[in-house]
Amino acid sequence: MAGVAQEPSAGPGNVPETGKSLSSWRFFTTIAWLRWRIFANSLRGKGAWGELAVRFLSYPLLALMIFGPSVGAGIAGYAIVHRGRDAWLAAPLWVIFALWHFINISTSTTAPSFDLTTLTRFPIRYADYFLIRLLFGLLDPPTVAGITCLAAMCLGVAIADLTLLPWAACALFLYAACNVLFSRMLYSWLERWLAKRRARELVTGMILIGSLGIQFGAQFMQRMSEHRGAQPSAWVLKTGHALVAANWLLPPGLTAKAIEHMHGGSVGQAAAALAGVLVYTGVFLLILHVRIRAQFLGENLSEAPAAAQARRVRLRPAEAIAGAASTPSRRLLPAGVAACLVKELRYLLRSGPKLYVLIMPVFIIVLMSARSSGLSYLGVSRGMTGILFSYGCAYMELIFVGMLYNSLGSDGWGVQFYFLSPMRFRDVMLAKNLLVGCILVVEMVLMYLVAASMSKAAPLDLTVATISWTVFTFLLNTAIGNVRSITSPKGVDASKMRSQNVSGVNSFISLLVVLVSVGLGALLFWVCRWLHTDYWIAAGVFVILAGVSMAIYLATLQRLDGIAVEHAETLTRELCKG
Amino acid sequence: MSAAISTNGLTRRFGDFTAVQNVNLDVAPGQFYGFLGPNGAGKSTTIKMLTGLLAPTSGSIQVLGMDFATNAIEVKRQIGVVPEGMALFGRLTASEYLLFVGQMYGLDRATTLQRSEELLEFMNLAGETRKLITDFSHGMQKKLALAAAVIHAPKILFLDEPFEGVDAIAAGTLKQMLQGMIARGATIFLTSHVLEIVERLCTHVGIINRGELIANGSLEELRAGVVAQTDPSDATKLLTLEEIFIRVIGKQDGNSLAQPEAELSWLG
Repeated sequence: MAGVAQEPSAGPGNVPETGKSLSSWRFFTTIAWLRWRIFANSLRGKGAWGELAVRFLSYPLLALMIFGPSVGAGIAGYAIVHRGRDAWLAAPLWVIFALWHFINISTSTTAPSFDLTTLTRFPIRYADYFLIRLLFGLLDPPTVAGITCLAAMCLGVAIADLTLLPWAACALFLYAACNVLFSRMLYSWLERWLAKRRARELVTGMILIGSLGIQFGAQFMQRMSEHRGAQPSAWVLKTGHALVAANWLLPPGLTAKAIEHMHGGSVGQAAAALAGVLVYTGVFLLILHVRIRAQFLGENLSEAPAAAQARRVRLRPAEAIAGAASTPSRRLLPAGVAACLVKELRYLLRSGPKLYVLIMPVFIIVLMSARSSGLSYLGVSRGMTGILFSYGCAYMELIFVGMLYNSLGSDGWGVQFYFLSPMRFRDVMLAKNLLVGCILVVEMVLMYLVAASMSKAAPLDLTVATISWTVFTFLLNTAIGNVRSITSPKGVDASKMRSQNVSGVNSFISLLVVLVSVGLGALLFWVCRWLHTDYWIAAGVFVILAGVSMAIYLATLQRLDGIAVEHAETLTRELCKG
Repeated sequence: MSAAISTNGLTRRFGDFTAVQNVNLDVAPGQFYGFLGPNGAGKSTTIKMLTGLLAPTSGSIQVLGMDFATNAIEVKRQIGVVPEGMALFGRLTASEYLLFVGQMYGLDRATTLQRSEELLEFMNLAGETRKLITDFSHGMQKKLALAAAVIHAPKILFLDEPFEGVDAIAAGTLKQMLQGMIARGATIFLTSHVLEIVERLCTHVGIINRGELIANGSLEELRAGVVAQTDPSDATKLLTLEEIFIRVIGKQDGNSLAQPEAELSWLG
């Protein structure tokens, strides 16, 4: 057709052009444009401007979080070099390493995500793909924080001794690159392993054990250090020495040694230490390459079998759909609510991370009870005995908000079923709330028993005040959380280590509610103390507030069907992605 | 006898865009109804409205003589649906999911367990007791979604692309099951892009394009109507459903599908 032939790219002479790969620069600009468009388009949905506002509000907070450690790193760099103890630079470098990677695990993004692995279907060169995977994400908060801390440290070293600046800059730059590669390598492999459900559960279990172990270890070390006059045992000393020795063979220690040797004039040794960091960087790069190369060549991480095995099919349609009349049995709960409750319980038992966070409040109380018991070495902790239960409840509320404000997040495509089934949406949400409520009650009982048996039972007035405060906060959060779960849901992917989308507005609201309720609790607590009265005044106030929040909860529960219908499209669109 | 599914002036707008406009549909009880249309014609929007996934902007829906808007719960109790995304809960096993669905539809536990066992066996999924649904292949998920849609013995079954991703043997089994349901008096409302399947299974067909229902009736009625309008000289010609579809859509779109080979000449 004449009209088509006039198009510049449509003529037969242009056909070979399509076979050429785009230049690297065009790929970068195209992907940058794509990310920008995804971001811009994300502002078109309902509540998008609220998300943007929260994001902008969070930037100063983020800047403060980066600024604080950076100033600390700068001061540490200056002080250590100024005193001539350059090897001690390993300490702040380990801290930066821990912050960099710990924050990486803990943070979730509120920005619209884009899976870079989907680029492999385009005619992209591997080198470009690798670079894209490496460079996109350099501006995420942990990386920016890590790089800023290292830059500040470099500045501190330079102020202490200007002649060290070129070498320190070089060493710290290499250390930064090493960390960037380590982080990328770690998460790409973790995602590889976590693609399998069994592995996911195993890793979660390991993280749980590791985390609990670290806390026990820290507790133990603290008690050792508090034991005035007592000398640490031989094996503790041996372990300590071994760890320090191992440190000099690892990137933070090697980087510190490189700067120390250069400061001392031993150029050869400085170069050797830096070469060590370079080797680590190279190894991380290589391991990352193996992973990304596998992705690039087309890797299927799905656990689905390649094909269903052919089996003998027994055709029994008559029995299969015979419409026997159902006879509802006696139940404590309506059948639908009970079914949803069981489903929620099954989901919870298969979600390692959720179980992990749910265990934490009880675990914390175990630790604190141990500290405040007669075994403790510090009198300070003993002052907390009476309020341990209250502390645990406050911590528990903080933990629970994540479950309450995105309670439909893990349902995915299943959310459609709630609209298709003859169930009221409020019953679905009631079942979800009941499960969380049951867990809350069980945890409260456990925390009370732990605190009472290991340390000291809280007095009755404080116990009543704490329970009523917990009920008040829980019901208020649940009421708001139910509405926000429907109006601003975010899909949760159990196979992703990080980059889980969360609603910024939801996070902001939940934080606000918890802060206000904790503030109110603390205020009444101190008022009672100031008046030298017992806590019955606080208990009375919180019982009334719990009643009010129960009324709010019931009122919002009644409205959930309407809200769900109104937001059905948002809900299904958001949760049925991918 | 009232229609199994009946819509009156069914309309759905998304902002300025009208996805479905003034659709008047009547599906009689016991019919195997195929709902066809090109991509973006309004099929999914219509089926979402018919099953309660989407509220209409205007118009009404009657299912088994009940108004959907005022009797949503009772209507949902009587219908089974395999929606576009299958509505599965990935972190349950197949039997757990069927137990959940059965109880949500008010079946007692014993009946649910018995039916789910039979359905899983029938769907060739009985051996996958420990595997989570998220680990199923697409075809297996489709079969499970169909099992869940029929576990409460619905009077009307809505199927959105039920054969997509299902292997030939399983597709044969499913077709047999659906025909068995029709023989027992159930009504099936099906959308599919595979016109051969629709032609083989469905007794009645509706065609939607640009949000409007442009053809509706039995296959014979449609065939006769299309021949009369496009080729009156040969009234005996036996058109396939694909030919009917292309002629009906082509007529409304000004024959834009008539000469695809003339376009995209640069493809070589």
